[in-house]
Amino acid sequence: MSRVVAIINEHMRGNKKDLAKLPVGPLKKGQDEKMLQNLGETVKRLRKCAHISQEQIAETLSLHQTAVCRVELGLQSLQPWHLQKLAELYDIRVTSLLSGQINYWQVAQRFNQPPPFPPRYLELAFSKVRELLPLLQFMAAQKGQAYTRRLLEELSLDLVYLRGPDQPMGVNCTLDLLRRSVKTGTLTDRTLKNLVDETRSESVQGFLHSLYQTQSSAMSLVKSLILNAHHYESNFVYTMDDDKGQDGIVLTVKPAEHMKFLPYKDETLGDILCRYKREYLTQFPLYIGAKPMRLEETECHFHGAAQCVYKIRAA
Amino acid sequence: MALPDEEKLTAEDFYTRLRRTVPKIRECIEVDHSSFLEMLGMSAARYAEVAFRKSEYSTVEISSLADALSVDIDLLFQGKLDYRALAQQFRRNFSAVPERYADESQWLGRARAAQTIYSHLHISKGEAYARSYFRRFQLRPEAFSEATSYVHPLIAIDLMKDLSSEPLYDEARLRSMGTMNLAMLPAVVREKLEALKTPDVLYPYMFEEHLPKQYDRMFQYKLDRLTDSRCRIVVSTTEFTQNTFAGRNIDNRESCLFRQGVFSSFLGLIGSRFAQINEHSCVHCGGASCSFDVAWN
Repeated sequence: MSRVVAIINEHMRGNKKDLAKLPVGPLKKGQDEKMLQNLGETVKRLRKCAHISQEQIAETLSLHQTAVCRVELGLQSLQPWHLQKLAELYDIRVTSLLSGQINYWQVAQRFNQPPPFPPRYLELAFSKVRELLPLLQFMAAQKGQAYTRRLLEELSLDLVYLRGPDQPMGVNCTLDLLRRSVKTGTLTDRTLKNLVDETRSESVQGFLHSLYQTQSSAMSLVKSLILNAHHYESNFVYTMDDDKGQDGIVLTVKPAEHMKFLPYKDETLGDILCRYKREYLTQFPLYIGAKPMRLEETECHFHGAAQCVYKIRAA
Repeated sequence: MALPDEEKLTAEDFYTRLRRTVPKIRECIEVDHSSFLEMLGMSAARYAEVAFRKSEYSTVEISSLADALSVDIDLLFQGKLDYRALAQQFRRNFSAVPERYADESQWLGRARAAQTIYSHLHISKGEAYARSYFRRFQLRPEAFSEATSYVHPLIAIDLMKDLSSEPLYDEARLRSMGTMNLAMLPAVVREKLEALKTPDVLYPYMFEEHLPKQYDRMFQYKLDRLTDSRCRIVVSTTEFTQNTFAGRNIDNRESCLFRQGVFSSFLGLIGSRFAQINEHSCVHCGGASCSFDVAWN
């Protein structure tokens, strides 16, 4: 037994070479290795979120700590009774434990621990995870899933913690991801349109999707978008006026009060947020198969003005 | 032998229950032994081992059975499966519902609410999650494919109650979920409503024409204090509902919030922002009736 512990301890320190030497019996016929792997990862994540040790888990389940370690490594399964006990411990469902569909933020909260998110991304939480979705989909489409996962790892983020689209988070998270994509040349003038394309989907727009689908013209759609922008993020304030005589609208976009604490127009980002919003508004009618809007910018906050002012008309 | 309460359940009690549940499932779905073993992913020898208490079912075996039957593993673990519904659903009668929702004389709700909840979960968490959520109640989304068909009101009540215990499902979110009801309106109704242009025309029409015909049969909705910027909606149970359910609770706070969302969403039909809801009183918060203001300016 001590040899097993030694090898596992070594593995925990990062030396994975000896893992193959573990005295593991063959998996029973019918056992699914992927399921074991996923269950192990879930058990480990839950434990880390709740800040409890393997010893404590072992005690709860009446198992040896080595067994818990093997479970976390995906080398050993848990029996139904153990799943039941773990589900009780974390106050989740057994189904969630097996599927990995867990809200880790809630688990952390139950154990009076901070959410499993870098503290920097919890400050000024006026954004929602939903805001990140198009950016993540865009990066996966441009550079692949592996690249996106690696990038998130570099920012101490994990996709499993980004499952709740309406989970509030700080805008720093979006800004950091934007900065990375600009710096690496993923987001350029040419690819900005692709990023915007990712925003027009059910998964990104959530419950507003049904509202947008019922709009009969490009102008009413864009008006709905502006009126409901606060459901999406609260970092900018949108004010809309009719542009009399022009059959369009005048939209004013002002940074919210808390934005003065954030570097959203630094050297790397420049006026990317403004260009993104312009493209987003212009292309939004494609949501219902209508022609893009015409947009003229009369003032730009990113070039010295207090706000951005856009005149928007149907094409 | 009666099993102890869930909290005092020992490993032995748990496995005793599981050993009772599994054969009962086989009995109710009426499949031959070898097919059942295949569902469990077990050999005959291994099955005998468990039957003679020399071993216990493994997680993989129970998961395999739950997957094959599309049942919720928690219901299986807790021995709370409705075997009649399970047998019917296994025979591909997906509209079969558990006993709790089966009394047709009580089907006064519309399937649209369950449809809306399903769509909401599908959009925000994916199809697999939405289906597994319905499985918690041994329900299949296919049972709610006709928005206007009548179903037991407890279905929506149960679905919403459980959601409210999940993180982020605060009052605002439950109202937001109600606004999705808009997308479920039949095209004919939507066209009629879109032609009404202004809220002060739309809301009276909704209450006089639309709701009595298109909405549930449990509540009566009264439009009060209509001005050019707001109106008050008062919701109360009908006498028929009170007689049918004989004092049994068929509404909850979550449904009330959902309903507020539904009423605020109508403005979306005429190209406006969803109306703002100012709750006046709610039966579930100690009020005499459920009433709320819908404001559009």
